Amino acid sequence: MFKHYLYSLKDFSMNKSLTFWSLLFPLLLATMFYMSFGHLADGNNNTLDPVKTAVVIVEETEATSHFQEMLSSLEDEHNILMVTETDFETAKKLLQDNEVEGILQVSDTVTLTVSKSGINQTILKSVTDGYLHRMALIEKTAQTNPEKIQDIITALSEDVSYLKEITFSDSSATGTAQYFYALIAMTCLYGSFFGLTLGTRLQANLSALAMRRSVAPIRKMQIFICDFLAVFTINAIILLLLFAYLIFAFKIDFGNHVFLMLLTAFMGSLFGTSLGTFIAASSTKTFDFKIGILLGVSMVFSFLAGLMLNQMPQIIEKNVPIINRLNPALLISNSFYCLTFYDNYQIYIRNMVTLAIYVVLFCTASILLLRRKKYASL
Amino acid sequence: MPVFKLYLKIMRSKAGLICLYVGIFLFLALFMSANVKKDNATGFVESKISITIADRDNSVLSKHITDYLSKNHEVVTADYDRAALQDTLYYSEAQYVLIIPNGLQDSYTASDNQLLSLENVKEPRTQEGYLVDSQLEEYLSLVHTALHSGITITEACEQTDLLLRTQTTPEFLNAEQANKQLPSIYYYFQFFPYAFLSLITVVFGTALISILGPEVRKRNYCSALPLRKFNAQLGIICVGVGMILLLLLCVLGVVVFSDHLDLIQPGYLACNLISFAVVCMSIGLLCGFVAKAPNVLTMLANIISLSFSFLGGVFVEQEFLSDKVLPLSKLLPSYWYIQNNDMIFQNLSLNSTQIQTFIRNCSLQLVFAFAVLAAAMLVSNQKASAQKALH
Repeated sequence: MFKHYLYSLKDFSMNKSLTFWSLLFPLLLATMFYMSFGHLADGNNNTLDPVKTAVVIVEETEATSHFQEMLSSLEDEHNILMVTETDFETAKKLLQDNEVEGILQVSDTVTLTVSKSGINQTILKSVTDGYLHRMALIEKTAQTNPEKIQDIITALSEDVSYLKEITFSDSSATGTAQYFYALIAMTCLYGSFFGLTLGTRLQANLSALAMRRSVAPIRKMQIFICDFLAVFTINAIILLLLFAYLIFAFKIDFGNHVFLMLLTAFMGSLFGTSLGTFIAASSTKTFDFKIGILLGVSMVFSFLAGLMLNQMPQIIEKNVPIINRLNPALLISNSFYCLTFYDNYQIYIRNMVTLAIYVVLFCTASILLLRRKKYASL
Repeated sequence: MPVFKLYLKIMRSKAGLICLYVGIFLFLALFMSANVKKDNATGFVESKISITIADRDNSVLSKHITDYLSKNHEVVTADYDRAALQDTLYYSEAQYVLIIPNGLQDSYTASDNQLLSLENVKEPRTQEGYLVDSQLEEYLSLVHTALHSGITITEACEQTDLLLRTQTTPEFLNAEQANKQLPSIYYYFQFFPYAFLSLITVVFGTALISILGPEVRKRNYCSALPLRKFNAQLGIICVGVGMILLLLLCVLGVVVFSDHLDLIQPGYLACNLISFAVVCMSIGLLCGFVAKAPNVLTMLANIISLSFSFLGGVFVEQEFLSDKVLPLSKLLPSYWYIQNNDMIFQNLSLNSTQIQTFIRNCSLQLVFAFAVLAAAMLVSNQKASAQKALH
């Protein structure tokens, strides 16, 4: 039996174009993700992208210099803003060309000019509001309680930390990591293309190889098991290479549970292989048509798991949560999420059990569809 | 005509497959367009974050903090249960979890100045997290400072609430931008590059793999039709099919997203769409010439469409692309398509500078298309020479 496994392994890996693209596709996609927003997922990077801001000093006053000090602190110490001091005309041009998010015009008071609403613009508004509140507090104290004014100014300038960031595990969750988890899920689903080839090679009415195999003195079940293990091996190697690439080249955080992480990937790979085999066994349509079906299924699953928009699982959770419980791509990607960011294994186990049920169902259905077939003529 | 007939025959035999792809991509495009967060309010709209607050202090101060956040964000209160709070994040019910510790108010009123900190769990290094952090820091700083005047915690909180009413009102660069509503169809055309590029690559590629396959090609070599005419007819029908699919997607978009259609500038929109369609067709041709099997074509289509979409700013807004990746993004036609699309939908009419920019963006897309087309011709010639050499 091992000999058959080795032949199957050799035969599947000789399908150079499928092996090449199956490996290259996730690697390329991972590189692209990293280029697009990997800087946000980098565990060594502790800063967020500063908000580009144009500052126009309308009139030099004492208040202006206070505001400038505050901006310098936000720019240099906290890296929240990236300030360009300029005149209003240039600032307008910068805003029109989307080179800055907003214009702060500073005189006795501060005004904010924007070209749209958004999170960066809200941060700029928050910065401006913060300044105005402090000024208002000092003015109010000067009117009502002038002897306390120095205490107030000292208290405002104190560097007190009122917040403490904590995590529920050793790692902190990042939305961008979700893209990489969804990518691994997609790679698992793409293992179904090998599964499809496997299923086709077992049906004598669909492939010449299957015709020869059907008259060979070996049980079909034995061929099925060897082929299945060979495909699983290839998929597993592709996934291991992808993991190595993500961890060593891009420093993507998968937590400390190496064994469970590999178990998840292999379970995903088993799912992909069994799905492909089931689709191959389920009808006598052409190979191309079945590829279309598989592509559709895997793209829709991946899309719903957040491959294109990482908010998609949230949208579905609010509207049709059952889809999230059943979508295999999300089960795989969320399992990684659980392993990395949670110290609670309940959801992880539920996801793994659901995937295992899928694998058993698809394999059983494939075996039932493929067994004891007789052909009047080939 | 023989090539037309051949192409249509192949298309007919693959009609089921093509319908399947059209269906899949339409589903994706429509689903994306329908679900992207839209905000049609006019004027400046502050971003709101979903926050879950676990109040363990249950004091005047903690209630004021909750009220303050509720005014600015979408707040849900919950009991302190670590597992439940984890689930809140897992199921994306909250972007920010705030835990108000027991004894917070007492630490502010005590004379030793040993303040307890509020605990938060959030996605690190995000603008949303920073915004809530800065607002909380601001609130607590004002309360803490007010207490230095010798007033009670209730008075300090009330005074802070009064101070927070002083707010700046952001002005828009031009009034048009403040009142401009982005119609739903904007999102449809935002995601158009992904859907159309995938569709065209698969449709063209599937047909070309059959037409350029050894069997059909050998028959063509011995037919009376010169190769040049064959290629010309093939090119014309490819353009025809591409345009029909473009029209189909546009009509579908208009039918499904029929609100605010008066805000569309159809001339500019058509120019931008056609420019990008030409890019897609040239890529479709190249993939058809390169791919040897449908499964390889599928992967090629995915790699190209996803790359163009992510790097061009289709899925991730262009403002979030890092400075390092921007030079690469600018090499892709999808980047220029999105620039034009934003310009068309964010302005009710284009001024002369914007028209120049629009023309430049379309030209850049077409330059890319012709470069790919040249590469496709080169591959086609090499393939033909190699096949001839075999005979």
